[in-house]
This record gives sequence, C-alpha cells and structure tokens, in this order.
Amino acid sequence: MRKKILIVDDEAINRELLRQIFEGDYDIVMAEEGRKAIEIIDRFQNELALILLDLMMPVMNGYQVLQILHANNLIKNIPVVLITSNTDMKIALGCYSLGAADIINKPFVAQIVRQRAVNLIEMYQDKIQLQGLLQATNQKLIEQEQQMGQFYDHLLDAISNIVEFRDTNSGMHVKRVKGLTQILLRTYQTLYPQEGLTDEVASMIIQASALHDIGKIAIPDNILLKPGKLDEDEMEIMKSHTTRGCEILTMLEDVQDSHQYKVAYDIIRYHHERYDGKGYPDGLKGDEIPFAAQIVSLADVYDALVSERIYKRAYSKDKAYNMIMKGECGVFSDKILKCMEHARKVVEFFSDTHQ
Amino acid sequence: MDIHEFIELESAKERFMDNEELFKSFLFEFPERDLISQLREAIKSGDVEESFQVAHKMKGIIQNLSLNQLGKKIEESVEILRRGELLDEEQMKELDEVYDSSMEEIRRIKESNVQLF
Repeated sequence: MRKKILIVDDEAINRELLRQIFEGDYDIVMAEEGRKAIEIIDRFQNELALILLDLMMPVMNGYQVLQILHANNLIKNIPVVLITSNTDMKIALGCYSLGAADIINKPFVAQIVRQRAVNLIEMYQDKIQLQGLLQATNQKLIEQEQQMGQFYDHLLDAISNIVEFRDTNSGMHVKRVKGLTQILLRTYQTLYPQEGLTDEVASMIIQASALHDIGKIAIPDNILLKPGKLDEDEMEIMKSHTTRGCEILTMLEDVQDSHQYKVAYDIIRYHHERYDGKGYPDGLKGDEIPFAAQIVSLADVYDALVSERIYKRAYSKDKAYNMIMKGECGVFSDKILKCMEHARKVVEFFSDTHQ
Repeated sequence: MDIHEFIELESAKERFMDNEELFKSFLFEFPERDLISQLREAIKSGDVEESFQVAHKMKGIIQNLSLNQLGKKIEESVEILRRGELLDEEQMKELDEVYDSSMEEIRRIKESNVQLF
C-alpha cells in the first residue's frame, strides 16, 4: 500500500502545486484548514508519511495544528513540514520547538520540496525502525539481567545451604532469615518512608542475608556441633565466623558489583554486633553498625530463638518476641524494634509456615 | 509589455513542473476572484487584520504565479499592513495601477492563447 501525504493549505493553488510534486509516488489527502487536517490525521495516522502544513489558514491555523500534534506526541513519528511565506523568526523557532521537521518558504521550488520531503520521510522511517530495534534489544537485556539475578540469587542460597547443612541438617534457617529480613525491610519502608530505603537496596539486603553465616564453614565440627556450652576459647573460635566469612566473601568480590559486595560484607561481619556496643567482632555501637546488619541480626536472633538447636530447645513465639523487645537477646535500635512490633503477626505467621 | 517582464516564466515552469494547463487555469482564475476589491473594502473599513489577511493571500498566489512586478508591489503592501498600518490613498493607487495592468496582461494572454512553457 502506498503511503499518504497530507497537504494542508487554504489556497487551492498551493495544494495543487504540492499535489503535483508527490502524486506520482504517494496517495495525496488534502485539507483546507486545520480542523479538517486533524480529522484526517486521526483517521490515517499510521499511513501518513508526511504532512505539508500552511501556517496562515482560517478556522484553525497551522500553528494550532502543530500544538495538537505536539500534545498527543504524533509529531515524533510523522514529519511535519511548514510551507509558509511568513518569515517571522519567532514563529519559525516556535514551530521548531513544537517539533516541526522543516520549514520551507513560499514560493517554493518543486524539486527542492520533493528532495527535502523524501529525505525527511526516510529519516523518520529509519528513526522509528531504530527505536523499535532499540526497544527490543533493551527488553532482551532486561530479561537477561533478571535471569542473571535469579541465577546469582540461587547460587548464594546454595552456598549458604552447604554451610548450614553441617549444623542444622536443613536449609530452612537461611530461607527463614531471608523471609524475615524481607518482612522487616518492607515494614521499615512503610514506617520510615523519609529514610529513603529503595526497593533496589532492600533486594540487595534480602539477597545477601542468606550469606550471614557463611563463615561457619571454617569452624571445626567439635565446636560447631558441640551439644553443650562452649568454653571461652571455643567461643572465640565460634565468633570468628564473622571475620572468616568476610575472608571467604573476598572470593566473590569479582562477581558482585561493589554495592552488593559492601552489603554482603556488612551483613557477614556485623550481624552479631549489638546496638549498645557489646557485640562482636568490632564492638560497633548504635548506627555505626550498618543498617543491613542491624536488620539481618534481628531476623537471625528471632529465628534462632524460635528454633531448636543442638545446644538449646525452641522458645515459644511469645517468649522470643518478649526477649527481643526487652533486650534479653541482642540489643536493637528503637526503629528496628518498632518494625518487629508492627510486623509481629506477619513474622509469626511466616515462621509457622516455614518450618 | 514584454511577457518576460510580466511573468518570470522560468520559475513558473519549474514550480508547475511543466504543467502549462495547470498554470494557465490558476492564472486565468486569478482576475475573476477579484481579491483586490476585498482588499479595498477592508482598507476602507479600517480593518488592518482583515486587510493583512487578504493581501497576504494575494501575495501567495501572485508569487506562485511568478507575476514579478505585481509581486513586488503586493509585498510592499503586506509589509505595511504587517506593521499595523493601513495603505494610504497614494499607496493604494500605486497598487491598483500595477494590478490593473497585470490583469490586462492576463486577459491578453488568455485571448491570444499563446504558448507559455
């Protein structure tokens, strides 16, 4: 099907002259004023290769037509050439800023009009084609990135599970810590929107939370699996899972981007710090402790309390909740405790359904 | 009057893409539209905007027809009106004279049926 060219001019002589130039190669549609032009554009917008537009016309003038095409974004896909004898610079610039493709002065030279029109039509077709191509490529990239992200997520979970299987015989602790971290983060976003915690950062924290105990791989069985209380030396070795974890993490430094790496590092190293400064390994106090570590720490403590471990029985959910709120197991910031308080029912439901 | 002084045939031929018939149809139609009367009326009633519109329209057609002398004259009138002034009696008279002689020329071409392109 031949493409259409719309000619808009109130003077028959101009319409006829322009028609002569193009009728060999295009279907010609014509309008004597702007409002009719808009009707035609609405009807044929996908078939229009070019609009030749006079400025001074009765009823609706060319400038108003441009404004409408600009407002509904059609000006991006259909080249509009103004044919005018009005040489006012301000008007010309106004037309260009509304997206006009070209301005040709009357009286025009037929061959020049034809050549400029053909160039513009080709340019716009190329432009539209390129945009489509770019969009498709972009979409592919986004999908690939998502796939990579999922793969990476699974990889981290798998590594964490290998470590966890040694002492709990299941990968559920890692799963629950991730889930609890997610619940606490979403609650934090709701309660403290002014803190500007983005979804992107929240996702990084959730993903990296799986790695919090990765350093336990370096703890010998006789300590990690000891049923009774650890003596002082054994305790020191046990505590080193935080710093040993960071050493292991350096092996992943190249596969993670620097922000992801930092979040993982913070969680692994500082998830046993306490808000009152009495935690380990560095004794950080208050908000010296990175936010990601504070959140994961609470998730880890809660899950440890309500789960049975080789050295302890499981506490009830009420007991665990109260111990945390009273600071009997870990010390947390008021803000994070508020999240726990707010999300208590969700946390308990999640914990029940992920045993 | 020499026809080449009256019509710049080269540019007309180019613009009308050698279509003499089309050119003549618009050329012969022009006197019949009597736009000059509309212009005179508008000026008489002191309506600058309307006068400008009509003069501008005339200019477009005249330039497309490559009527050089008349084109220059009407362009002067358009510029005066664009400034927001009306044509005074002297200016109107000058325009009338060129217009009338041009229309006379068009009639002669029509009657003699001379080939232009």
